[in-house]
Amino acid sequence: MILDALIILIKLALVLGMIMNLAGLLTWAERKQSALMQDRIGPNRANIFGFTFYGLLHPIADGIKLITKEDFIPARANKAIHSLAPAVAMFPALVTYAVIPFGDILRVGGREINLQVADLSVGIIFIFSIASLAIYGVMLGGWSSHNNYSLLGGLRAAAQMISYEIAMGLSIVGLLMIYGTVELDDLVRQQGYLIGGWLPQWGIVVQPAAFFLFLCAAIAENKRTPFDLPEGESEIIGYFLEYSGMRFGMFFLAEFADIVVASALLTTLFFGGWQIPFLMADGFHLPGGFSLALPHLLVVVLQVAAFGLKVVFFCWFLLLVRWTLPRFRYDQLMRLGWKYLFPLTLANIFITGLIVLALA
Amino acid sequence: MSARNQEIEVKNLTINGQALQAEDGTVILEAARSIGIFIPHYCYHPKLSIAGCCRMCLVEIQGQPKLQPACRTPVEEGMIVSTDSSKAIRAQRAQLEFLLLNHPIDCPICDQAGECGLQDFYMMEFGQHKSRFAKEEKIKRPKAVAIGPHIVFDAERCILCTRCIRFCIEIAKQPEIGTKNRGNHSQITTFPGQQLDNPYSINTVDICPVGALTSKDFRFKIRPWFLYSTPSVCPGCANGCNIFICINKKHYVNLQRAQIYRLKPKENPEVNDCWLCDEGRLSYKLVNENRVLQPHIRQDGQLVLVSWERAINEIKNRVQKILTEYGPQRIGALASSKATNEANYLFKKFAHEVLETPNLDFLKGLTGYGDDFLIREDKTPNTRGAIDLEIGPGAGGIGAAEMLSPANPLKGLWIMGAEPTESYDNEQVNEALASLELLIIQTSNFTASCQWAHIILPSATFAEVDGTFINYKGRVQRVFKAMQPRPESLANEVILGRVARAMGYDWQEHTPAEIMRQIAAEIPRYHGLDYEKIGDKGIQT
Amino acid sequence: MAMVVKDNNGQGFLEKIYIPEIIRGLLVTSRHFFKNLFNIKQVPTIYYPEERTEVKWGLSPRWRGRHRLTRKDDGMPRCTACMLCATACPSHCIYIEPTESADPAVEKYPAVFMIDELRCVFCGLCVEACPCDAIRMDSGIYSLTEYSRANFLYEKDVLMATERGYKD
Repeated sequence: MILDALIILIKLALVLGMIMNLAGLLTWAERKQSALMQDRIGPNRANIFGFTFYGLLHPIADGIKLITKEDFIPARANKAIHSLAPAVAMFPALVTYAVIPFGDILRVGGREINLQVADLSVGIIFIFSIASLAIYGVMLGGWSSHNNYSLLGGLRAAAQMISYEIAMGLSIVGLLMIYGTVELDDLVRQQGYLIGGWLPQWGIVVQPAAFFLFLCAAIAENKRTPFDLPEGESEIIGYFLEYSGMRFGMFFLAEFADIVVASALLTTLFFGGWQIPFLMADGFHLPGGFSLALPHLLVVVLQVAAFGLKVVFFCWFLLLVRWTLPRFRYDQLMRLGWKYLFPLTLANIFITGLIVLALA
Repeated sequence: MSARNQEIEVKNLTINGQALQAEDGTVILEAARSIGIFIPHYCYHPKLSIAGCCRMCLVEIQGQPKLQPACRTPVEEGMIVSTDSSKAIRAQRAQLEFLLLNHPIDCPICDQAGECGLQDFYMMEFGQHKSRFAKEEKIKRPKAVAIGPHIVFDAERCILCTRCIRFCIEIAKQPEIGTKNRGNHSQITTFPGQQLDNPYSINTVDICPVGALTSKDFRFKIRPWFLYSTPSVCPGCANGCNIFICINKKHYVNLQRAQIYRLKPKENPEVNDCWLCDEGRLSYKLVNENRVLQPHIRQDGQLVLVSWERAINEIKNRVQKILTEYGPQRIGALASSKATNEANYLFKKFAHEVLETPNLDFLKGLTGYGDDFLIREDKTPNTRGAIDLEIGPGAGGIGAAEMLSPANPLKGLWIMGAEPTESYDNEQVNEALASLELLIIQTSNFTASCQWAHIILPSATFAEVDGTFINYKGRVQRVFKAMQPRPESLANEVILGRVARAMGYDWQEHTPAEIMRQIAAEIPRYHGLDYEKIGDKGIQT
Repeated sequence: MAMVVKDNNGQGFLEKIYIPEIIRGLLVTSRHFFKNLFNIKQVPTIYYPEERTEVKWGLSPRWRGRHRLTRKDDGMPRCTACMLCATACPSHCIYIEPTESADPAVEKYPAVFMIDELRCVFCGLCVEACPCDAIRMDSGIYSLTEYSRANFLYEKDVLMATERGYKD
């Protein structure tokens, strides 16, 4: 019993550590990557004895700065809600990760450990329900600051997130129809099957349109360029205008944690989660009949590493998108969400339904 | 219309294809100006005799083989004039080149730059940017010679239009300058042993079309294009000459506040034509210098700077103390012939309602030199206004002379905008003021009497308020607010209103225009007057 | 001239549906990313305080640096206080107080010549307006740093003491 609890605690620590560290690293990656994309050098000033570690000390310096900065609350702000909002914004990003499987079942000493913090039967639905709570963080932050710009930013954010949540939710439906499950570990396991004996049955393969729709909606949900109207830090300023110090840092980190979650979701739903093509529980089985037996522990480690790499790739990809595309106008944003993404998702469901019926 | 036409003969003529009518005797230049055609000229001035020596205004008249000077050719019936024919333009251009043969290229240091006739025509109109005459060949003449107490003369820049000579003969009636030498070497000069030193000498600077004559006072202070003008009335004497107040636009870093740089005459045929005396011209300095900038209260013999709230509170307490202890008979109020009618009217009301005293009078200012042209002996702008407003002792009250004599019965005295020593014996005034228990002086500048004051209130000058002055002939003329008062100073009427309200009287805050309407309603002579009717030319009453 | 409104929504179907164009853009940026990732040395960025433009490449003679006032041979300012620079200045940052000169050949010179470098927008209009070549922006000074706002009021002596910043 105690061992069970301990295992869960370890998994929790692993998952939380992974998200938080990735989010922290992403603050560095964002700056360094944007610099490289724009032919600049990027952060290079923070150093220890002259060693800059490619600017990797900057997130640490930022953390120290944010924590030691004045924690300012506007005089007429609602103190309780103003203090609560960053935590509310951070919460969904951390909790959604609970149901994402980062590896196959690990068998150690006769125990079967599911590499997933919580194997919920509702799976993906849990993720969407929690993700929709993220609106509260930004809304409360914007509203409680007693600042018109914050409030408008919060309203923009709420309108945008609600609009794109629909597209995001519906874009998954086709996938669920094909795999016939909402449990994420099941979903990933099904993606390990091969179509015609050589093509992995990944989400991207069976639902390419859904992938684009989901990607689009996920970026919008993250409130990142080209959908960063709620923030627009350089021009229109957003819901966290009145935040300073680590409270601002929480919003900031929540955004990066959201990137990690979005990457993990993209990986899990469309890129086979922890699956490596042709790697079965006992080793590689290539289409040509060639096979390579591997010990169980190595297979699990490979799978977890594959999952991590895929997540990191998508983090990189999301940053690439953020630093490539210009921002939408608000009417364009709403038009895209309601007039294009929403009908397209419906069409995707309809066509998928027809195909599933035809194949059945 | 027709009746008038029979008296003065009207000629029909055509200028540049535009038909027009002009009275007999009008010169072409004026006739053209009346339909908006500008003929370039330097020597012609509408208020001076015609010289016809600059030859810039040559125009082509059909039927006459040679070009004629527009400034001295009267209109004739059926005349067909063209000012823009190629012949006329060529003549003007050539003449301009002649005028500029010896003109130095020192626009950067010339004070006239920006309002210079040569710049206007030469550069802007004809665009002759290249000179055919080498710089070295120009004749060198004396530069920057002080030819009078107010005037600096630069002979190189002079184009010999002789406006200044004619002005001294015809207007100032003191011929002090003339031309010497001949041809290329002609030059304006003062008569031997004389200076250009008449009471109107700075007018020559105004009428000089180039930078040959410059005013010592204004010289190099600022460029004219940084100035903007507000019409007003000269506060220098009772004549009430119309002026423009020239103030710098806020242009530089925060080093330069708005201040008056010069006064220029404003044309008003009823008062001053287009002239202004030197004394009046320099009277702007009181606006710039020696200003009271904050309320003062005397504490332990020292004047201390205080806030308006504190000063008004102090006035309230001390005036009420005198009123209760000694009664209103022991307090006096002196208005001023320097203040506007609006301020004086309100002061009268203030003395009657708030101080409740019959001891009310106004102070006449300095007297001095006067002549039969523009300068009056009375050196204050509004004596007639103060008389018309019936500012004087009420029943049982005493007048200014008595108030300022050592034998006065007063305990308190309120002086607005005047200096008693200007019009009364110094020692007597000092003795009278020193014996007072409360002396409140409302003034824009520190004066001799301030040494006795218990409370000094900073007030605005004529340039900083709207109001009216009445000149010695009874002409009501407006002064316009040319600039904001210095930060802590207030218009006289505003000060009085504030004090009255602080002392519990229900005084509304009236604009000067509203006060003028009250005056018009009360004083029969000004019946029906308001600011719109007075306009910027004034009204004779 | 009639105004031409350019349709920004793309030409042809492929551009109008955005996705191929977005991918093209992503390829451009990722190409730069990888190029610079493996060869950071060729990035043109300068490590400013340690490396300096004027040392590494040299300043362009057209660079507009902090103003300076030129001098005549006798060391007096060439400026005649004509105020044309102050007139041309769009940010009203030049303050000149002209005065009568003791030298009869000069007549007028600036007693005070002040430039508020905080207000200056470095447009160079003052240099173009000057008829005497008295004010120039060729000092090569691009880094203006002071400890107080008041110090940014550069006076005549400082402006005159500044030399031309680079050789021809």
